[in-house]
Amino acid sequence: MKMQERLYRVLLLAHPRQHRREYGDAMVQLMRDRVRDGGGGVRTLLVWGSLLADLVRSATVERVTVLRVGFRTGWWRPAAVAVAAVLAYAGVSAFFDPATGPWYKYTFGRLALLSAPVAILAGLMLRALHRRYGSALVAVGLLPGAFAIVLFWWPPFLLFGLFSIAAMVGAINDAENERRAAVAASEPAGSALLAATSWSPPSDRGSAEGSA
Amino acid sequence: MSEAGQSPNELVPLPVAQHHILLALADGEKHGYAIMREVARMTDGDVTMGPGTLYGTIKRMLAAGLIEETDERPDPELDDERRRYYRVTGFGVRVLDAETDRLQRLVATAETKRSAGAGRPGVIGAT
Repeated sequence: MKMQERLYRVLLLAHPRQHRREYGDAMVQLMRDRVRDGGGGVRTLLVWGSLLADLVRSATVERVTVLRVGFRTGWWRPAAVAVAAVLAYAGVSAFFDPATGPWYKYTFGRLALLSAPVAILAGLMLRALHRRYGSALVAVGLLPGAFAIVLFWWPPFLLFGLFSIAAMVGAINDAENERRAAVAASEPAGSALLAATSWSPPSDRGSAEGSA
Repeated sequence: MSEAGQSPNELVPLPVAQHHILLALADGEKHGYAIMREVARMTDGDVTMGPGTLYGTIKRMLAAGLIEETDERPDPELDDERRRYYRVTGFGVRVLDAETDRLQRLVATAETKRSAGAGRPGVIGAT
């Protein structure tokens, strides 16, 4: 049961921090009750299936609620989400060939090259003020970039762009003030920069492969 | 009117989950798991609320003043102190009454239409 409880607590991270603080323990208690009374073996799997479905549904509702309230009470959260989403999109767009791809995607890619270092620098400076939070963000930000280097320009990188947006939205929602939200917004920018710097046009790759 | 000046009719029709929880608490305070079991019992097992849905709904009901947290324990010796208990507020009772009235009117309308349509193919009550 301890292991299941630990796993459930990790999954609870999908909910906004405020909600976890207020109801996290009660939710874990309820999860324990359900698993205990659900029987063993296959029934435990069925209980977990419904617990996971419930988690996805409720985490989505709570996140959307936080964003909706943010739109009403603080302009900076949705604004940070929008900016970061554009940056993440731009990072992915950097993989498009300027010769064959649409011009705006290429332009977004170039803009990412310019804006990402600024955002990352700001994030690193703020990291000194919020070390633990900043370090986690840097780690999350580096992961997709590292994969991008390995995968180069493959379409699966699109998934990392989506992951980047999701991680950033979660971090912004959890941020308790504007400064932390700014750090969170720098995370997808980091991914964008790493993606953009690992990009090379197909023609370059062809000639590189040819010369090799 | 509630303390905040809100009329019970402003909250009806109630979301299904809120309605179920109000009904589960109608006969006394309960903790989360007891609410979940009562809802399952009331609906013959058709509705099983998970922890996320239950506490998300409870949060909104607390904010709306429909329920409140209570320190009272039905039987402290048998109970876990860490559990949180909830009960319906006076405003919650009035909202539940308003919702019940609304549903009764709806059922009455359906019954009337069914009676009127008896024997006429393609309308309610035809079979």
